[in-house]
Formats: sequence, structure tokens, C-alpha cells
Amino acid sequence: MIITVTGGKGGVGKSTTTLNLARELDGVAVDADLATSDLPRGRGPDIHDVLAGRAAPMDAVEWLGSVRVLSCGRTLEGARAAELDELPRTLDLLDRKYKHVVVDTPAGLARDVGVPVASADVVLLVTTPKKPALLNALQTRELSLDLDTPVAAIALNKAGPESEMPDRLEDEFGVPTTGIPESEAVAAAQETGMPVRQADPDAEALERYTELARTIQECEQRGGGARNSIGNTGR
Amino acid sequence: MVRVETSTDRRAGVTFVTAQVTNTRSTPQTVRMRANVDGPMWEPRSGSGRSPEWGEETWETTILPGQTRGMGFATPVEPTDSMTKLVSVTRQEDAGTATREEAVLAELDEWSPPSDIMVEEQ
Repeated sequence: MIITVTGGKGGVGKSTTTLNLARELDGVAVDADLATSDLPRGRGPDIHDVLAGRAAPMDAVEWLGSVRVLSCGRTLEGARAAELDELPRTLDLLDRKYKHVVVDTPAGLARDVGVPVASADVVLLVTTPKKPALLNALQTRELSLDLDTPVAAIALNKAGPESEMPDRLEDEFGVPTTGIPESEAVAAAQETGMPVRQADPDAEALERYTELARTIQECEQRGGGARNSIGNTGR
Repeated sequence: MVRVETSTDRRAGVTFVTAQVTNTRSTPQTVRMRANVDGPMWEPRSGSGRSPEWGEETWETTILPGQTRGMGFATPVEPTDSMTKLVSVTRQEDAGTATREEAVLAELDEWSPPSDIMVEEQ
């Protein structure tokens, strides 16, 4: 299953969510934020090399701590050489090998978001309770629906511990919503590039990421996802 | 439905069979055909591989409305009136979705890496 993590707004915690979800699902995190990547950087070939045809997707996946990551290079030359059109095939190949492919995307609603959304089985929307972030999340949801990729879940980062926001979002969007309160554990994980399960396994945030993973798995068991319902042709 | 026009050409003990397959409907159709010969059949090959339309003995492709595609093969069998057999014709369900997806993606802003936020490799 290909899960594209997106939300429109920058800095809402897409990369942190991607890394933690990939860890909880025992899948692979793919850094498709080709120019402004945030996931940890590996040592070998990266997604720029893969999208430029210089490396096979499998050869560019490496273990970074306890998570498999297809990381992204940091050079302008690399980003320029990367062919966005190659991304769907890359994700498809990874999907055949790993059960879950979790794709981090850039901010905005340009084609570098559209392509991974169109290639995914489901979308995970990431937002914070702030209005600009919520508006961006709404726009991203529109794009997902236009591209026939359903939204499987919402991760509401920086939700207050007692906030009613997750419930309200769940009603408003009609999608299971997990609130992930701001915490030292999440901040530390973000800083070190390690998932919470590795950085601070006793943290409460871990339960939230487990819940998020469970939502995705339930969606998968119900046969949810764009590619299941329309036969996986031409993707 | 689809219209199939088959012709044969016998040369040096080999029958070359060609068929023109036309989609006369208003929706894209996935067409499957096979050779109707009692004997060996040689499908066209490009380089070392079988051409993509050919599977094990069947030829399959999707034809857009009003379009014509050609299929062909060779066989040592003498020509008959019906060298090809239409196996199935089904409406291509995903065609609309694919086109829609492409249309939506085409409307989005082009992606280009912004030079000002890139960090040089260390």
C-alpha cells in the first residue's frame, strides 16, 4: 500500500509523521520532497539518483536507525536531474517489495505533490490546529479527491492534550483523526531524525503513531485505496 | 463492436497474417485476439523480447474510439478464411479516470527546484 503524507502547509510535521508511520508499519519512508527534504539523509544513492535513472529504487533504500528510508539528496543538480514522471513507477516497485510505502511530500499544491498523491492508494493529511494549515489541508483534500485518491486519515499535530479539535475534524472531514500533542518526545525525535519508538519508546506520542498506523491498516483491510477500487491500471 | 479485416500473404512456405482492428464504438475498447491456426504461430518480436501486445498466444491492446490498430503473425500453415479469432472485446473502464487524472495533474503548477533554499552537499 502506498500512503502519501501531505497537507499543503510547510512545517506542520509531515516528515516527522512519515518517519514514525513508516516505522510503525514496518515499511519504507520515501523522501519525495525533492528540493526541500527533511527526512534523514543516507550514505548511498538517493531518490535523485533513482529518478534520474542512475540507481534502482531497491538499491537506494537503506536502514537509518530502525527505519528503512529512501532518502533525498540535497543538491540543486540532483533535484534538477530528477524526473518527477519516474516517481509513480518507483513507488510501484517499492510497493511490491515492502508492504507499506510512506511518501513524504513538499509543501504546496504543485505537480510534485499531485504526482505522489495520484500514485498513492491513500492520502494521510497532516495539519495543525492553526487556520492557514487547516485551509491548506482542505485544499489538499480537494486535490486528492480530484485525483481519485481517498484520504485515509488525518494527523493533527500540535493538538492540545484536551483539545476537541480531533473530534471536530473527524466530523468535518469524515475521516479518522489522530491528535498528536506537542511533546518533548516528538521534538527530540524530529531533531535526531529517529522515530519516537527508537528515541523515546515510553513516550505517549508513540501510542498516537500506533493509532495512526492502525487506522491505515484498517483501511487496507477494508480494501480501501484508489488502486484497489479501480484496478491499478496505468499507475 | 470492433471491425477486423484480415489478409494473408504466402511466401516461401510461410503465411504472413495481418489484421486491421478498428474500434467502431464511442468508448475505448480492450481487444483480445489470437491466431486461429492449427500449427505453429510466430508472433512479431522486437529485439530479444516479444512485442508488448502479445502474451501467451493472445494479442491484447486498447483501442481508442475510431482508431485502428494492426496485429500480425506468421505461420507455416496454409492460408484459410479465418486466420484470426476475436477472443473478447471489453470496454476500457479506467480510460476515463486516467484521462481525468492527467488533466488534473496538467493543471497544477510545474515543479521546479527553488535555488534559494537548496543546501549544498557537504
